[in-house]
This record gives sequence, C-alpha cells and structure tokens, in this order.
Amino acid sequence: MAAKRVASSAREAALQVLVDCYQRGAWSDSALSSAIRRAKLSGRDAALASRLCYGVQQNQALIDYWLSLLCTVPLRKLEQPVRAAMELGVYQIAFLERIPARAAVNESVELARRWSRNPNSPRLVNAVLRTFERKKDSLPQPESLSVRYSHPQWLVDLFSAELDGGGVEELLRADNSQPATVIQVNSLKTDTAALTARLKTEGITVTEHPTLPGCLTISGTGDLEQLESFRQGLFQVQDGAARMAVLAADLRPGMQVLDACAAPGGKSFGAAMAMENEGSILSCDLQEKKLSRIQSGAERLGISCICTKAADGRMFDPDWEDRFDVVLTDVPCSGLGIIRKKPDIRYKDPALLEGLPPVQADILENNARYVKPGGVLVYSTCTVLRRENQAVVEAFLERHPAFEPECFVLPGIGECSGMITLWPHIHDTDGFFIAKLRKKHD
Amino acid sequence: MIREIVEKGDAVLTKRCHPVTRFDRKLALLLDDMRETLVESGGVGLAAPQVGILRRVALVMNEEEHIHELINPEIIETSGEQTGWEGCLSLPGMYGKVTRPMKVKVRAQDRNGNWFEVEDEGLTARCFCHELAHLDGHMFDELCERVYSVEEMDAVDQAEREGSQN
Repeated sequence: MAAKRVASSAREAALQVLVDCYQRGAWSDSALSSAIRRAKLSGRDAALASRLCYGVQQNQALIDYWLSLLCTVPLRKLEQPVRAAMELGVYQIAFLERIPARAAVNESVELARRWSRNPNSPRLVNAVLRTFERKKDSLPQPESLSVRYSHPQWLVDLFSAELDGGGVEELLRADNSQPATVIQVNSLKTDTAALTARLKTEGITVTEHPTLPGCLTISGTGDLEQLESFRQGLFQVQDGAARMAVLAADLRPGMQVLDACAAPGGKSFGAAMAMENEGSILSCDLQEKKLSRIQSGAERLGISCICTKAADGRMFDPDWEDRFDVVLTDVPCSGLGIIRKKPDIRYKDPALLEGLPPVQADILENNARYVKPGGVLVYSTCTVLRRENQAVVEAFLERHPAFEPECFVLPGIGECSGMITLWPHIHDTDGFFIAKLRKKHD
Repeated sequence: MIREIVEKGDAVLTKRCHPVTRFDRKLALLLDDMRETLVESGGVGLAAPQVGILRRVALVMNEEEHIHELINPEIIETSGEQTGWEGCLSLPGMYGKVTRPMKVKVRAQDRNGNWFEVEDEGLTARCFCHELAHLDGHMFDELCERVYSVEEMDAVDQAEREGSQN
C-alpha cells in the first residue's frame, strides 16, 4: 500500500516529522530519514528538511515562548500540524537569514491549509507569523538560559555544576549550532589530496581540518552515504573527538586490539587505518544486529583485520585475559556531549541517566582484565559529566594500582595528563572524555 | 536486491496466490528483497504478487515503522469501520476513498513457519486488508467509485472542509 500522504516539499516533510514527534513524544533520526525518503526529496530539499527539523527541535522552548506571546490561542490547544507550521515559520524567520520572511510565512500558511481541519487555521498562522516578523526585534528575550537555549532546567543546572569556571551559555549556544561534518580519509585507499579533489568533483565543499591530520571538514551535502566516494570506502564520517580517542591509544601495525563497545564501528575503523590493516581488531557489541553494520562498514573501507563478536562488556571471557595490546572501551553514556548532533538528547529523562556510572564502572573493570601487562586501556564517553568520566576512572585507579594514567598528546590541544574532557564550545568537537591508562609490567 | 514493482494491468495482480509450503532460503530471500523494495518505495505495505511472485506473502509496516512479515496470512477478526484515502504502489499517484474495518486481527506464519497473531488498528489495519486482498487478486480501486490524482484528492479534501464549515 502506498503511504497515506507523501510530503511534496521539504517543509511538508519537516512538518510531518514534527507532528510525529509530538505524537510519539520523541524525535528520531529515523522519522526524518524515512520522511525524506518517502517524499523522494533531492539533496538540497533533504538538507532543508533536516535543518528545519533540527532547528525547531533545538529552539523549541524559545520559539514556543515567542509564540505564546503572540498567539491568542494557547499552544497546547492548537492542532498539532498548525502548531508545527507556526514553529517552522518562526524558526525560519528568526534563524534562517537566506529564506525571505514572506516565503516562510506563505509556506506555513499553505501547510496549515493542507493539514488543518479547521478552516480558520491558515488565517491564524498568517496573523501570528506576520506579527512575529514585524515585532521580532522588540520581543523580550527570555530571562532564563533554559528557555533562551531550549535546554531543560535540570540540564542547565548539571552543566553549570560541571563548568564552575563559567562558559555555560557558550556551551548551550554551541549545542544549538550546526557543526561541520568531519570525515576521516581512509588512508588504506586514498590520501587527503586525492580525496579532496574527488569530493570537489562530487559537488562537496571541502576544507582540511584545522588540527586533525587525515581529516577533512565538509559541507554542502545531502545524504553523504549516496556519494560514490562514500560507497567506494574512501572515507568514514567520524567526529574529531572520536578520532582523538583513537589517536590517544597510539596504535601501531601488528597490534592486538579489542574494541569492547564497538558499534557502529568508527573507532575500530580508525584503529585499522592507524594499524595499516595489519594485526587484529576484535570489535564487540552487546547487540548482534549492530555487528553486521560493522562488518559492512569494514568491507566498504577495505579493512580485513576486523573480526566482530557479540559480547556483553560486563561478562568476563577467560580466553581474552591479558591478551590485548590496546583495549578501547567507549562505554554507554548519557550522550550529553552530542546534543548539537542529536537535539533530542536534551529531552531524555534525567532519572534514567543516574544509573549509568555503575554500569560504566563494571565495563571498565571487566575490560581492564583483557589488557596485557604493558598494554593500554582507553576509556571514553560522549558525555561531559564528571560522574560518568573522571569519577569512574579515579575509582578504578584506586582499586587497581597496576594501572596508571599516561600522558598523551592531541593535535591542536597538546599534552594531556592521562585524561581530558573535550567541549563543544572550547574544542569545537563533540563533548567527549578520554582517559588513557597503562597497565604496568608485572 | 530491489525488485521491480508491477503495475495495474499486469495479469499477475488479478490471480489468486498459492500458499507457501516450504520455509526455505528462497522464501527468506524473497522476504529480504521485498523488504528492501518496500523501504525504497516509501510505501507502507507490499504483497508478493506486486513483485511478480504468486505466493501468499505480504509485508505490512505499522505506525512504529516495524515491518510485519506475513506468510499465508488470514484475517480472523475485524471490528469497527473507517473510510479514508488509500493508495497502492501498483497504481502510482492515484488514491481512492475506501471503507475498511477500524481494527483487524491477522493470523500468519513467520519466515520459519511458526504461526503468530497480530492485531492493529487505523492505518495499519487498513494496510492488512489492502495487502491480503492482493493475495486473492484484488486491488483497492475495485472498492471505490473512482480514483483521484493527488491534486484532485486535495481538492476533494478542501471541498469537504468547506462543506463542514457551513
């Protein structure tokens, strides 16, 4: 059966996704990608649909604050498509300079006409958005950081506690920014210069990464995975922070490496490139179905030194004891460092995040047993909370005098004395934590 | 592998499909291909005859985007009624108003031959009815007075809205 209604434009696809999000209480990348697929949007329209969805999600509290000042009907009483049409309009007028306000208003009015059951809706949307356009520079700015940057109060409080030296507002702003996509050149198949030239022929704007060797930042892409150069495995998408976790491990050809929580595989692939595809990498994940993605990724990239295995990072496997030169443990975490890429993370239930540290400690504890004497254990997360990072590692070190933190050097940052937290507003990477521990020789 | 979707006019869409008796690799391959074809097409359901295979096999995607694999399916319970727009991958771009049950319970086998039951409502219930009809050689346009293009469908919706306003 064909879908009930296929969106015919980027804005309509965005509206569909937003309405879906209200109805299911959550946003998902998959809702967005399937709406784009169904509407058969071209690269540019797909990019616009994504930007609109992310933009509304990233600024929801602020947009709703403004709308509540202008709209005579309480927002919660509006039909969901009408509310979404208004939010899309406000977002475009306030944040997207290249879209003329008139176009933004007309498109939202049209959406209301198509999607609302109430014949008055188009008029209401028109009135509210025109008023917004007129008054936008004189509307009050909300006092609270929580509303201004659309982060729930508990999250603002948590970040404030972490950043006692200040910078919370900068962090919140960075969370709502659009980070450039960072890709890692597959050194097994090509080099930076050749890939740069190749991407340019595919219509991509490429610049060399300011600090990271073998990385490029790119823009002007719709769906990267559709590019021929992607399919040929000439690069992988990898944020600078994850790249640095691999750099910290200082991998060499011929090593035996365990990637304990490997899915979707980026660090394993980065490791294989650093090892020139020589040696062995065992990539594990709890969920079997995620392993096939690692396998197909490795195949695409021409990597043969990776084996995959379904394994619970907390369950000891005696066969692996003292076996690996390097063990990478990128543990499940609150993900609060990647809000700029996954805007919905801010709407997680904070109570569920509190149970993470003991799990993280168990995984670290177990995987430490697989490191051979003289080998390296790298612990990483994509969050910035001390309780999931420094606290877990410090408690581990206290229990295990056989391990000691080891200095490592990161490009653009310099020497790190065993641990570092990367911040979106300082390092322009995902929020991330890396600790490098060395197991002493007996 | 993405398979070609046959369109109305092809005789395969008018035939009654044979039950599946062997739950083998060939069936798994058909299901995998149909799944890929369905996702690529952006549809919400696909029946084997739509890819030219006269077997009682159908896929139905529910509102959570989970795809049910239905082998030898039958509708065992229905309740309620809904009337709304319906379209078909084998009749691209055309829509018709079809009345279907609001709730449907289906009994079917999975790809290993195990029987199971699944129940759903709304759009997914509509989709169960639509796909199962394909297995008996029927299409949705037999159930409506006429079919409309997207533009005509919008116009009908608009007229109805204005009608309800007065």
